[in-house]
Parts: sequence; C-alpha cells; structure tokens
Amino acid sequence: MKRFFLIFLTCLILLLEVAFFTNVKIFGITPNIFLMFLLASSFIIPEQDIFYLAFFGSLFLDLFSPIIFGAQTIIILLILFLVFLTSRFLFTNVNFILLFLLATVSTILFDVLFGLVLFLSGLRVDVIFYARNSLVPQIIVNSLLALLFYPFVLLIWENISRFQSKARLLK
Amino acid sequence: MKSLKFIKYFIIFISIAVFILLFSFAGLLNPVEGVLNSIISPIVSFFNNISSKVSDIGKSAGSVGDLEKENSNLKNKVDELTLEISQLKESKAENESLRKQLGFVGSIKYKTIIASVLTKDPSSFLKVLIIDKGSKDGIKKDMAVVSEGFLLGRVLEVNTSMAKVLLITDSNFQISGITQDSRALGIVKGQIGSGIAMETIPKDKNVKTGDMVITANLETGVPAGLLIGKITDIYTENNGLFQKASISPFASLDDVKNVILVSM
Repeated sequence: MKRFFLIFLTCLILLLEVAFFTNVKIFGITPNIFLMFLLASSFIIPEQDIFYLAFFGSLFLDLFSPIIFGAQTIIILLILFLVFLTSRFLFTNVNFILLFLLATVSTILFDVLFGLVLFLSGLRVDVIFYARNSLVPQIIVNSLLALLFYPFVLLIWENISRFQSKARLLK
Repeated sequence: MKSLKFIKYFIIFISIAVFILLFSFAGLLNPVEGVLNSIISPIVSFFNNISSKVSDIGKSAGSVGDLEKENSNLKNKVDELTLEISQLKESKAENESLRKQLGFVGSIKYKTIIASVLTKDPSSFLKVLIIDKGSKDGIKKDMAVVSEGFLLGRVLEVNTSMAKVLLITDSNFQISGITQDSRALGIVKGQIGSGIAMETIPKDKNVKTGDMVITANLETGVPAGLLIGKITDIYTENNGLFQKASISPFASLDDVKNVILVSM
C-alpha cells in the first residue's frame, strides 16, 4: 500500500512539473517539484524506495529535457546522494531550517550542473541574467515546496503505517 | 549505527544512469525514447490542456477591461487590411501575367507538417517547446516552425515520435533575415531575457522602424519569406560598422497550441 501511494504521488508530481507548471508558472518559474519531493521524502521513506523513485522519475523528466537523455537523472541522483550524506552525517534532527538549507543548496546545485551540461552541449546560457532573474524566486518556491512536502508525506506515511498495523492485528 | 545502504543504491543507480547517458550519446536510445514518448504523450497532452485552460482563465480575467479598446483597434486594422488585400490581389494578377509572359515556373510549394504542442521545457534555461511529431512523421533537425503564419522557431532535437523546438526568443536562436522594404540582410538572434534583434545590418542600408523582417534563403531547410517580426528600434552596433534593430516578433509565443513545420 505504501509503495502504491508512493508511485501514485510520484506520477502526479511528475505530470504537474512537466505539463502543468510549464503553463501556470509561479513567480515566472517552473519549480523543481520532483526534486523537492525527493528531498523532503528522503527523511521519511526508505532509501531503496527513494532511489527507485529518483531514478525512474528522473528518466521521465529526461524525456522532456533539452539536455542529453540521462544527464538529468545523473544530476538528480548526485543531489540526492549529497542530501543523504548531509542528513546522515551532519544533522541529527529534521527541522525547517535544515529543509530550507537543503532546498537552497539543491536548487543552486541543480541549476549549476544543468547549465554546465547545456554549455557542454554547445548551448549558450547567460548565468548572470539567470541568477538575477530566476534563481531567487526558484529558491523561495522550491524551499516552500520542500517545507510543504515534508509534513504532507509524513502525515500520509504515518497514517498508512497505522492502518497497516491495525490490519495486521485484526488478522 | 547510521544506515549507509544509500551508498550502495547510489552506486547501482548512478552506474545504470551513466550507461544510459553513454548509449544516448551514441544515439542507441532513440527508438526507446520514441516508444516511451508515444506512450506518455497522450497523458502529458491531457494535463497540458488542463493547465493551458487554467492559464487562459487567469489571463482573460485580468484583461476584460482592455477588450473593448482591442476590439476597436482590430476593427480599424481589418479595414486597413481589406484595402491592402485588394491592392495585393491586383499585384498578384499582374505578377502572374508577367510570369507567364516570361515563362517562369510556378511558385515553389513548401512541405508542411502540422503538430500539436505537448508541453514546454520545464527548466528555466531554454525556451523550448515539445511537439508530438518526430522523425517518423518526416521531421528533421533545423526545420522551420511556424505558428499562425509567423516564424516561431527551429527544430532543435528530434526522436522518433517527438521533437523539441527552440523558440526565436531564446538566446541560442539565430537565422538569417532580410527586411522586406529596404532589402537589408542581417542575422536575427534571440536576445537574453526576451525579444529578438537583427544584427550586422550594413550601415548603408536605410532600415526604418516598422519594416517587416522575413527569412532570407541562406539556411538549408528554412524557406525564404517566412514572416519574423517588425522593426521597433534601430541603433548603431558598438563597433560602429553595422546597425542593429530590435524586432517585435509576430508569433504569439505564450499560448501556442498547434504549429506547422515547414521545409522546402
């Protein structure tokens, strides 16, 4: 049941990122909803499940990305690895400051790596223009999303766990 | 003891991703991408239609006050265009008669493919549209893409069932253009931020604001005469050797649902 919920939520988030928020922009940007969902869920969902979701979800995003197929998957997996490293070795508790910091660093890292791949593909990216116009709203919107996703996923995850334990007891 | 299982999963998945990237680089994954796209396209298209409608509702709610003014302007424009059409019909008849007399071959017909816009590129870096036709429908890299009769962009990347279109306002876009009245040749480039400009216009050419800019026949795959936009501002380039003109594109870039791919 937990996995079914995860797959359903991931599909919904991916479709929102690819087909909904490209038209309905927030502060002129399309947020990295999927990345923020992974970041917030990495504190709740088992590592194995998160990596499966990250891998297949990123491949889906790669289909609609202007960079070479597979590159966005590598970027997202790298960021997720860094999130895991930070949360396992540097911080003991999950709090809003940690989520905000991780969302900010992840957004910057994603954009730097994405820009680098575009540059290597021979496409021009104006870093200063981008940093001045898109980076700050992107950080704010992404951080808010991470802060919203964490309690949402936690609440549903705990409720499913409770429901499953009750069902087991009844058996 | 802290769980370090994530390192194991990371190594497994990153290795697969690197292999996928290498296969993709070698062009071996195009058929797989094509199959995946044809499965996913209808779902993405459905979601895109919903979001497009939501976006339309938002826009129309904010612009009700301007509709009356716009309507009156459009009526004036219709009158002007009706007059222009009658003049053009006369010119066309005269042109055809002259061509017959000179024994010219009839005008070259363009090959066209109609495609629907699936979605836009979700990243903020490039201005790219994703369309539902690919190489199996005859789409090739660098084909011109037109919307409502105006140049919208060029094909950036193609796989079997989907293609990515780079819009004219992207800073990576460039194409040779010519002004319709003064016949000045230049390079039309997308500008950083938004808008487009025509660069390297010879200084001796008398370019005016309001001049129409069309495609010149200098690139393979892009027919001549596609309308790009109207000159809004002219200034001298920094080196003092050329002129540069800001262009207001004719194509509506925000709300494109269908496009036509044109080739010669």
